[in-house]
Amino acid sequence: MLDEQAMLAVSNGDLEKVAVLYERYKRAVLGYFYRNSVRNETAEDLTQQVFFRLINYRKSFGEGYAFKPWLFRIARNVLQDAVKKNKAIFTGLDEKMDIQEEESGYDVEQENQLKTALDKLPAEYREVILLSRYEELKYDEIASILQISVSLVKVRVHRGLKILREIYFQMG
Amino acid sequence: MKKIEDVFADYLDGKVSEVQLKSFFSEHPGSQQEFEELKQLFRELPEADKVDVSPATDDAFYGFLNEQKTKKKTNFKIDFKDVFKYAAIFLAVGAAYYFGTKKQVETIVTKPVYVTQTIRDTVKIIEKISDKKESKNRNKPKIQEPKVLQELADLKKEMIQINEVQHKMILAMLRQESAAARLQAINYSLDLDAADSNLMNALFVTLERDPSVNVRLAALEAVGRFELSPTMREILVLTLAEQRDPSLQMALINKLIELREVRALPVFAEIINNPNSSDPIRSQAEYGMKILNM
Repeated sequence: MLDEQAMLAVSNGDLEKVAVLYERYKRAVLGYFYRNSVRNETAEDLTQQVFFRLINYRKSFGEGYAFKPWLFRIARNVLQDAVKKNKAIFTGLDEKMDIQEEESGYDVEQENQLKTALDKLPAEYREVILLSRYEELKYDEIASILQISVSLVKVRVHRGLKILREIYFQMG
Repeated sequence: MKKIEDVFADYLDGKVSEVQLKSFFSEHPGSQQEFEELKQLFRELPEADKVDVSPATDDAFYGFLNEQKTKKKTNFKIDFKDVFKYAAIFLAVGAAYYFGTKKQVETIVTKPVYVTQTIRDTVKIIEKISDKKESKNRNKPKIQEPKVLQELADLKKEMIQINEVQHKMILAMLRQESAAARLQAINYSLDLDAADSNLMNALFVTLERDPSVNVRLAALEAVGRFELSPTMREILVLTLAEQRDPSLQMALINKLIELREVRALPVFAEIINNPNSSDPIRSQAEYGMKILNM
């Protein structure tokens, strides 16, 4: 069953289908908050809130909507609301580095530097790069989440990577 | 004229061919180096860390969901003005349904017995085939291998053992009473590259009989990920013949169309001719007939 079919069923009152969507997307939503440097325990809380909102606002999902961008728009709104309430939801860089240093494998140092460089990227550029690279969303989907034009998304991906390259080389 | 940011973004999206790229570089000398560097950087961005929500988050979600379901049931308000109107409509529809479908119910009653028996038989066939393969491998002579190859063989053995543990865990979880646990089991099966006959058997049984429609839908998704033998495809056809839940019927029809399974044609025809089939299901079956008859 496609995500859209499941969500339309939910929208029409079949709450059983929410479980299917939750199981499919809970890791992606949690990953979205982690990648946006939200503290671990807060990221779990925000993930819950996303799915609570999905249930509460289920009737706003209609025919012809794409589910994934709709879900990530909720996730983005949840994140923005959480930041308004409490600015201390983000991890410090030191804390993040501690987690990463426990990992082992190829080019860990380079990977950590790139992650740090990503954290230093201005929010509007980081956002499009994260949505494109990690959530694998298309540019028109990202545009609908951020409510900007597709060409602006493309410009931000390009400029974002240029800035990222500068930050990365300055660190090296 | 296209700008570099458009070309670069479209390239990452897979919308620009190498020929188009070459022509762009020839029109914009000097842009190729920047393009290559940014492309390299984008590809070197670290892979996403594997994360999973804690059991506490799962519990909170399923708790909230159950609360909402109960609320929905208890939020029912009786409007006495409409009661008589709806009762009259209900009686009329009920009477029409009873007299219109009385005969067909009698013909459908014998079907599940045939389907269930056939599924059991086919599952036995799957197990026999897999047992034969295993016994063939057991009879092969062992070859002395150099040290590195031996280490690789040990590693492979360990991987097989891990795989077996995963299979056992999933099988155990599929027997749990909680639908959430069974859904979780099916999600774990999505991480496997291949499933053994026991797991395939369990997934097909879940698809056929699990009391929760969601679990059955998830089982179909899991089954569809693996390479399906002709026998397994036939089980899908038989399962469709037996299912009455519209969402599962829809998912099965779509899967059988995707598999181009022509043995589904008689079942599609049956769905089309069945007056109890809902309109979307009937029209999807008609679409399936068209595609499979092409």
